[in-house]
Amino acid sequence: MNTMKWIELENYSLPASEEGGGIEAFSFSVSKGDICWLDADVTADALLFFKALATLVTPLAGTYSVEGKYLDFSRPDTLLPVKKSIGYITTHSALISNRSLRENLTLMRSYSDNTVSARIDDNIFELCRHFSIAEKVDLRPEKLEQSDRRAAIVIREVAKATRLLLLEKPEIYLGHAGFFLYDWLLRGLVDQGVPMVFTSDDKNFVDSVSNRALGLHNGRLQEKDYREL
Amino acid sequence: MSTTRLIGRNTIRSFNHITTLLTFASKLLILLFSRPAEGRTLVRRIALEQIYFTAVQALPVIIPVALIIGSAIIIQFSKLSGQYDLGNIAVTLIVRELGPAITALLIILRSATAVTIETGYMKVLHEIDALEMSGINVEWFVCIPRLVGITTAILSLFVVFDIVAIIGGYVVVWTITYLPVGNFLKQIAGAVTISGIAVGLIKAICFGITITVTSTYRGLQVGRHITEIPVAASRAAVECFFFCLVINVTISGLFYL
Repeated sequence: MNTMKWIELENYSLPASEEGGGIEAFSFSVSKGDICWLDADVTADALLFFKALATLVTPLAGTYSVEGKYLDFSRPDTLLPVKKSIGYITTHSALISNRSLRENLTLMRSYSDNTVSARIDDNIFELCRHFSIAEKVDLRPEKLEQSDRRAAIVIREVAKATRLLLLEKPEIYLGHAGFFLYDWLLRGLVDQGVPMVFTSDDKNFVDSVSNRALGLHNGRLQEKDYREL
Repeated sequence: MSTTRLIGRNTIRSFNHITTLLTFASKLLILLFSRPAEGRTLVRRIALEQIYFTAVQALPVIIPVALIIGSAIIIQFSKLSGQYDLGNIAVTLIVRELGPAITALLIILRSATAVTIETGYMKVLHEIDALEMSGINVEWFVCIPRLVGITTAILSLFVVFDIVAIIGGYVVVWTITYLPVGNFLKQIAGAVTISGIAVGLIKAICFGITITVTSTYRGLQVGRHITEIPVAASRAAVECFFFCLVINVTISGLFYL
């Protein structure tokens, strides 16, 4: 079912952070339709892995290719098109605090289309309505509840025409009340074949969406046999 | 031995820091002149906001400061020299030296620290990552508007400072004292030269670039801890002031020695 590898990391090793011990050399690839559950013993290492996939971390060694083309980490501007196509929904995701929610949701389009129009696209506004933030789009992030801010992040990242989605514990990201909608949104993307890598402690969610499993223990990333889960 | 080692280590560290700042400055200037098509409208809008924050909002501070300094200089030198060369002295001191230096100092106190704190917070709160994940070039979107805004603001404030200090200072002295300042305006007209104005403008541009590069660099160097922000702001302010003084003396030396 999987055709071309969209992202491929080879012999990739990542530096230790203050919280985590880094990740030893590993190889990993993602293709259309891959839904990978990441089982990590240290949250900081899982976040480091997500950051590596999002090209936010420069590796100690190894190569990162997108559709067969190698990325050059010495030229950060060349990484931007890749970053733009990756949805990144973790506790480290943020909104720009001196911009309203509306500006946050339209920032990427305003930047790439070179406009200052803050008109939210209909489909995005529809998502705002679903997540009950449609009435709050003209407020700045500090005026909103954390769940509203996170809902805005989810909408912004999903609306990026994402080619890979990185998710940290979706079952708790928006709180218990928001998970139903988030789950519905994610399953829609799963049906479209959008590849995902996610961490989760919710066995039901993992079983129902994932088709690959990865283990990240003691700084070692290994593919798990999915049937053993 | 250990003192020598300490001096050597600090010298190397300072040299590395200055070369890093120069590299960052050249990167920003190349980016500014290459003018990427993406985000140009947004960058222009943020630059205008920066001019408003740095120039317009600083006017209530810079005007009284200029008046006080202008009056003080005119009072002191009118007593010292009578009417002889008072305008020339005022122009030399205010336009060439004090104007750029005090404008730079006020910008450092008001805006350089604010820029460092803002970019530091953006780093700590992962907003820089969020911009990158939206495909936004952080140097173009965050640093360039501040570079343009702060440099334009310094140029404008420098002109305001000079006019208020000289004309306003003259008016204050003429109104409230009996000091001999009769030919003052005529002398000023004779003392202001193209090279004097050019030096002031060159200084203002160099100060703008120096202040922006140092403050944004220090802000972007903040790690993941909020406690790093005050340290970065303090270092940025001290470095900006020191670099501006060195530039001030260097440019004066090049033009007037």
